[in-house]
Amino acid sequence: MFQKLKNIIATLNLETNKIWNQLTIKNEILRKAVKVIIFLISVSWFYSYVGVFKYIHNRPSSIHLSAQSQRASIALNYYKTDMNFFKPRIQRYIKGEGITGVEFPIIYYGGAIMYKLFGFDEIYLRIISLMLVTLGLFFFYLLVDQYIRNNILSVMLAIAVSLSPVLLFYTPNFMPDAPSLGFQLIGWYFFLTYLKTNKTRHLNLFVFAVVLTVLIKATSIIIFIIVICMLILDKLRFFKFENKPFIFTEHLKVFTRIVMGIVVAASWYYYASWLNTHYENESFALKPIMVDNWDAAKEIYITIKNLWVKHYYSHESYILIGISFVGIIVLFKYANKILLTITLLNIIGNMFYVYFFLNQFRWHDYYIIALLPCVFFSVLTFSDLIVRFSDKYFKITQVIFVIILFFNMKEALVFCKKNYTERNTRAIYYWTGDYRAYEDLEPKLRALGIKRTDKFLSAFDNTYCGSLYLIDQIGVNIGDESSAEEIDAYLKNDVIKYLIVNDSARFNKIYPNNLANHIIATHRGLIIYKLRN
Amino acid sequence: MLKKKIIGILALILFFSCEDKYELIDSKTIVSDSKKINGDTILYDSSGSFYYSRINKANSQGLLSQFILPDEFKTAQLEIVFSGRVKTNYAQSNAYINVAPFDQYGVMLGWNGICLRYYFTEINKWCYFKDSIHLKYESWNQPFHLINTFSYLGNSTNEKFDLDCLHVQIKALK
Repeated sequence: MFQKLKNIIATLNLETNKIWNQLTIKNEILRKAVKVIIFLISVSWFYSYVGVFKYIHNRPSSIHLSAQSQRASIALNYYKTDMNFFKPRIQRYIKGEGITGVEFPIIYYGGAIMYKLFGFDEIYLRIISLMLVTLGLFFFYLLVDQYIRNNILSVMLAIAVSLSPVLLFYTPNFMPDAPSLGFQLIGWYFFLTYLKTNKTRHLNLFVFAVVLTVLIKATSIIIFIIVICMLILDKLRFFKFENKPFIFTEHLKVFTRIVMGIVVAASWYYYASWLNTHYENESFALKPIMVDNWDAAKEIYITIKNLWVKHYYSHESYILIGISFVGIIVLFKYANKILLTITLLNIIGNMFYVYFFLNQFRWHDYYIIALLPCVFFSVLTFSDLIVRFSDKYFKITQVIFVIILFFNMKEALVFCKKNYTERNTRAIYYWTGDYRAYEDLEPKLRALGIKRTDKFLSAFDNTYCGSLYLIDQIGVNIGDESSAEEIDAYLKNDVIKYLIVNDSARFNKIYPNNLANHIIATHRGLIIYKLRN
Repeated sequence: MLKKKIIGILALILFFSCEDKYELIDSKTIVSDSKKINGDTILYDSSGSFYYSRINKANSQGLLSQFILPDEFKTAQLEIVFSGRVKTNYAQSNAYINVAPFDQYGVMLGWNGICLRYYFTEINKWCYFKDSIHLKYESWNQPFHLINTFSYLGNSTNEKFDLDCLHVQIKALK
């Protein structure tokens, strides 16, 4: 009986090996071309299925419209006010010029250049973000392929780990988190390639990609710290292999470049803080927001568990990630030491990140994106383990893994599509509220002779500058909780020329007034008052 | 050879449409009719030579229409598409187009509506609108036997909500 089973497995292995050999392309150029084509086809189908192209024309909308419009406002102000890269501006201010400190605005500047070339359309900002994430995924796919040496499985893994509704929503979006992940993945690819080739070019590209990701999102500094830890571990001969004692050949060279990278990134953040202080306009959080007591941490944990966990990944993806972690723990002796170390250091680094930014996790789903490299590396480490086991013992294991992964991805894809559609469907206005009325008001304002620099008071808008951005006006907005005194102070401010109200009943209740004679236009439920000339 | 086949299959998948498809079950254009009035009044627009429905009392309804669902669609996911021309004198209008599904015993299961405020780009001028509502059997946990559609004015004082005609399409997810 046992012998029979052995024979069956041997036959299966033989057949699988035959097919595998048939599938291998011998021509190097053709092999590279096929690699790229497979990725492009798979990713475009994946985006198309989920609905990325369907909603790519949307203006900032849905969940976290506030943060989206803040970023989009930087690009719009470059385009409309001043293309000076070192003076990023935002829509919300009544004194000064609106100059504010922000993370390195390279994406928004790129968007502004596109606006200059082709005219204003937020699709360019979304496309830049989408392309950066896609490029990151492409390099992750190449990285996986370096270990797994199977194009189909590599592309499947690259897509499987990115099947996070949160990541997908912020991929063609205005936020820096997803593009930062893209640069992180590029950085990791060049780092691991450098370890293999020891070419300075790869080291420089690694440092360049990581400096960009840190400039865009400061928390990505984790990568530099991980590599410094690896340098130390290597000095302690932790990675000692049979044929070579160290994985790094020039420790000092790597360390020097990392320090230079950190200095460059820190310089920008220092400059951004200076802008905040100098122009008295702090619009973006550039510092950690920590939780100082246990009860608050517990509350945040409950919110995340009840609200966000189902948005981070689908049930099926959690199973894949869970199996990867368990697989790594059980079979850690057989895992690739470098990949395992990166995964573990990523986990430790992310624990610190969560500690420093826990408060932000409560209402900000996108903070999870910075944790995703940890998931990417755990799945890569586990898959590498499976493939090596498969190559050594049973080739059929790899086929079974592909089949299981296929069905797992199928379910996760359906889940992602549903979540993506919900987040982008106009009928839902996901949490932030209905801002559609503001989206096409600008031409009407210009027709009335209102300039974009004429200051507006927008009531009621709980975002940072969502309504002001959508109508392209400078000014200030007040939220639901505003008091009569606050409104009165704004209305008496000579700088404010116009008032836009989306709920006149509430406005009149908080601040009884006789502004009816000042109405100059109405639009989709919005009322515009002229306060003074 | 096999590699080419795989690429061929992937390319086919790429061009395969993954949209949700809805099948049209029924459609009606409900016009203002003085014999079938509810909370509305029928007025004549002399400049355009047509009749329209006006609601000027809060919590009143007009242009009521009923759709009996065929058996095979009683538990289907429905999309109800409304379009037409509307007018109001009130900037922050409380005008709605509502949908109310009923069970086999004639019990109303609830209602859902589209707020028309977004579509009034100007006051006292005819504005076109098109919007839809999705009704899921799972949300109500009862098969739909009948669907009622009607125009509705919420809590508004001094608002005059005019509706020229209402075009309704009932679609079911295939």
